Amino acid sequence: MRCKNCNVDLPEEYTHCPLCNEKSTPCESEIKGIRIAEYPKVETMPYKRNAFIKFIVFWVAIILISLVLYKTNVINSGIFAVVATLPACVWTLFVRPFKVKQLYKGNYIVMNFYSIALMFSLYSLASTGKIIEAVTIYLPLISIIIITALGICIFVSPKDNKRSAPYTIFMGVLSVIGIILTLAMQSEFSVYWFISLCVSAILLVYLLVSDGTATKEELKAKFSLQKRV
Amino acid sequence: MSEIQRTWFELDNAASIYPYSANEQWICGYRIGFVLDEDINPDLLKQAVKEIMPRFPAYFVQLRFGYFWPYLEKTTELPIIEEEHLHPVLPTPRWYTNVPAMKIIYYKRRLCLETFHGIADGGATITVLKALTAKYLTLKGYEIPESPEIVDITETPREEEVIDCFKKFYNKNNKGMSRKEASSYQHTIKPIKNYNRLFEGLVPVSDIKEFCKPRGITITEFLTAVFIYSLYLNSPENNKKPIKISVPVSLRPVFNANSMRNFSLFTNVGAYNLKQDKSSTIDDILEEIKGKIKEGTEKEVLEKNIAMNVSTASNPVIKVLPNGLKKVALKIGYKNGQQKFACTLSNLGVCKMPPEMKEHVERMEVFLGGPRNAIGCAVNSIDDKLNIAFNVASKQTDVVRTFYKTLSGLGIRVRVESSDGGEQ
Repeated sequence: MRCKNCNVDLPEEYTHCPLCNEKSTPCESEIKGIRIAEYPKVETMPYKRNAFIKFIVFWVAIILISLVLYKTNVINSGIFAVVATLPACVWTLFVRPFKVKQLYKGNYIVMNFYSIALMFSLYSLASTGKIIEAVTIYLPLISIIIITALGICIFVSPKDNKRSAPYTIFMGVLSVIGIILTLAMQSEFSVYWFISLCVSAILLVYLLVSDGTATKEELKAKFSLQKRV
Repeated sequence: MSEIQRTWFELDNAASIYPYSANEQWICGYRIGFVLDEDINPDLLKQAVKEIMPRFPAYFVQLRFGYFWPYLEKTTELPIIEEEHLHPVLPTPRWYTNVPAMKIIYYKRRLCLETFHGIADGGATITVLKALTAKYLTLKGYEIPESPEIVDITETPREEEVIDCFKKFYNKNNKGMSRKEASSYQHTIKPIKNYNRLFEGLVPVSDIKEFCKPRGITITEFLTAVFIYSLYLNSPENNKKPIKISVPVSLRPVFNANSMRNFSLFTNVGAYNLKQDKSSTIDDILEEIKGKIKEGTEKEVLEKNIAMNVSTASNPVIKVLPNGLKKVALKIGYKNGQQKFACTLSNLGVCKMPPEMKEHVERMEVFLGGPRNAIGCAVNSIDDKLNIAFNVASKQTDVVRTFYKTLSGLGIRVRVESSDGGEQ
């Protein structure tokens, strides 16, 4: 087949020229011996971001803004802060672990746990001027939620989460240590101690997740400034 | 620990921009494939992939984001191997998974690798594709002898294949070159979401050589001139800007390197003296660009280019910028760079393979990614067939039609195929 308009050869199977859409003319091709390499018929597939994720991201933004506003007394309502914070917890604890596949799902969840705990400690500090509530109420509460989330992860995809069981125990132990420390230190327990505990826990998790070499390499990669030239 | 034994690799210098610029409108990937003489057997293909993976540790990797720079992490998981069911070379989110940042697609007789450009360039991907195809054909029962043109998958990967060659050949004393360059006319198209259309123009190499030899020009120069001419004829009447084409050049033969990462640079070649009344001819353009590609790919010029790029990336301020800020800075730099040329024409040259393998490979196909509002052109050849391929993210075919018509008008035989087929 040929297109007389474009003066090019076309495969025998073509009824129209793909360049100009004119009807192709049956005649001998100038170039012989080439077989057509077909493509599948495709319906345009929609590629759109998950609406649910947009909804969650919107709420995460709302809670961050509300925390700032609360701190500056623009919105002075504990109920509002809790309602605004709850989607962030649900997102971080239940949605992201399922949506985001990383090599070590367990340590990802642990990091989110401590991020939430930090968030609540700041909220507690903002609302009551004390850090204690964050540790005695929210930390154990969140650890229970986290343990449940990990259990669900292990149940749903055991292969991906075979490393998660140690984290479950680890977080339970850390939560108990946190509570004991708080009760023992009471008024001296400051936000700085709590933040140090959270950051230390995150680093400890990294060290515990696998053998030393793999963890060291992962840390090197994460903080690489690129080799000198 | 040697480079091969590491579980991760730094991005090479050329790849630094890709993780930041990849999005729905900017595909930082490409497709390279073979059309074989028989339909692909998916089970044998999967087996072949498993067997070649250990030989290319820097290729089967996934992108991760560190706090300062992205990096490539080794993965032992099989890449996605699927039958083609979407438009080709579409942006797909593949980060945050454990599978390599590339996929293997097959449909009937076609076998392709769609690869993220941050992993490797076309030269490296062709090496992997040839090794994969050779292994696949061997599993099918055909005798494919060892050959210098096909990498031996039983041998240990070499250190030189995984290092960043830009840094290796960087000379601290080289002052580099200025980035100042005239901006080009931009031929933009309106991309259709989730749509991509491929055109292949199969041309006998002898026809092109017959045209080029008497004029003392290379095939790349000729095709670049035709591309400029096609853009020129379809540009607005009032365009005063030069029309420039970016031509990538592999640095492997220049520096005698065997990198399996990115190791190529670009030179921008353009026509500056085009008449606004559309009366300039193809010969006028050829006269203007003749020898320019060779000038831009002289070893000295390439060394200056490497020095410029590596010193920029090694700037202490750039190094310590967190990823979020780096993304903004690099994207601005990349967008400025994109204004210097209208389109890209990539000539991957002749694909060499042993005759026993060549009898099963009917053609090679290369399709570029890049910005979806621009047209990409890739050229390659096997045997006596030159494949000039375009990918267009819209139903506009003006430039592509002009290109092929120009070729046929010069007495060069062209056969055109399209991924949309030939039905209205």
